[in-house]
Amino acid sequence: MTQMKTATASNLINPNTEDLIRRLADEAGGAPIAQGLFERLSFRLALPLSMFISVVSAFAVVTFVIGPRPELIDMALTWTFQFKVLAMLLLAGGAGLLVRNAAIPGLSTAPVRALLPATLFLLVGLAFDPSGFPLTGARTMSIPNCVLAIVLASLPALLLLLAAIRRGAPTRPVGAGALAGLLAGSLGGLAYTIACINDGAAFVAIWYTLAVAIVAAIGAVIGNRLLSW
Amino acid sequence: MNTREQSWAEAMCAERRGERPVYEIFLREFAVSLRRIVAARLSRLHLSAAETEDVVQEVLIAVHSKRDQWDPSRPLMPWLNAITRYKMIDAARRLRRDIKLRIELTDDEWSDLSGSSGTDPVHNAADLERMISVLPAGQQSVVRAIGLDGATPREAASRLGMSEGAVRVAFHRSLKTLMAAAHKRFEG
Repeated sequence: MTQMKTATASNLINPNTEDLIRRLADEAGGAPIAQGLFERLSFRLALPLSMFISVVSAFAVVTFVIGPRPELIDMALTWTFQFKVLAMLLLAGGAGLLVRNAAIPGLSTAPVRALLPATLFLLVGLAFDPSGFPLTGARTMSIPNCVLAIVLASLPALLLLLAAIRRGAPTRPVGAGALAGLLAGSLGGLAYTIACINDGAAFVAIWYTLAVAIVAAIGAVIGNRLLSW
Repeated sequence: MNTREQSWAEAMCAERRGERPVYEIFLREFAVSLRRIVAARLSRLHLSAAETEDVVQEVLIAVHSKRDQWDPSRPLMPWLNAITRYKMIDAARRLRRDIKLRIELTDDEWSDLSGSSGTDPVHNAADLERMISVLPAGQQSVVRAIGLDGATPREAASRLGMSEGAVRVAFHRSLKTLMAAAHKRFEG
């Protein structure tokens, strides 16, 4: 008997909460149709739009800050160049899917399956690199140059993507930030392929991946602050 | 379970058509189930169950402020669960930080919080300012906008460049802090 009483008591609405519920219910339909529709549309549009501008901004940074390699047109037909491009495209594709899911509550952001193609591709490149190019790159400063350039090319994209995710409802701010960094980093890597003179598959697999990981870490740190609501 | 998904999803759609009663029933039912989940989680995390109602209200405000983003072609329950989980983690982190902060207050800060001045605190504007000044900067501006200038949460949100949900939560938290401080002063 007493037990039943406590059970009912715990289900009683707290007057404070009851008050809140009434005030929230007063706003039913209160996201005015025009404004609500616009906001919903703009949230749906914000993500693909920011992804598109991210690609443009990454290429713009590489083109104007570093400049494309002179023999780019001849190189474009070699498998080493295409390896870089394809690896970054696979990574960006998987990350893009995860970024979209991160902005919508209840969708999976488990990275394993989405990133599997890119991971396998990079691992194969690392293990069976037939180019014979050194792991440390073509010049003494190749590693810091490449890593820094990719991070730099990724930063505008990262900020754009974070701003777009913020319009949604990210329920894991750190993870969503990291995924935004992953996407921005792979777009930065993609853009950097037009400037990078290091063509070894193993070089790309290690140092491009490191640069992308750095951008993902930056994204996680910023996301923790910027994406909470 | 399935019927709840259906009836709550219908209520969310009804809200968009401005059907207040249906939405209110949904909020109430959701609050009841939230209260159970949140209380269980808090006790498992060894946090005070007294905070349950706060967390429940925060989840309600969060769901309300993002309600237009739910896509009716997707199931509602996972959407609600993800938001609940997020606000729960957020609250747990804040509660732990509050506990730490309370322990780390210096003697001066303690006497600031509980010290009594001769005048009646509620009717003294300077004193009111002083009480507000113990709040974090963000909460101070929210309290000034809503409490002193009489703005609505939406007006305050656009004025301060915050989301409406954030304003509601900040205002709610500051009121709690201020009430606790005022309580101490009357007793002390």
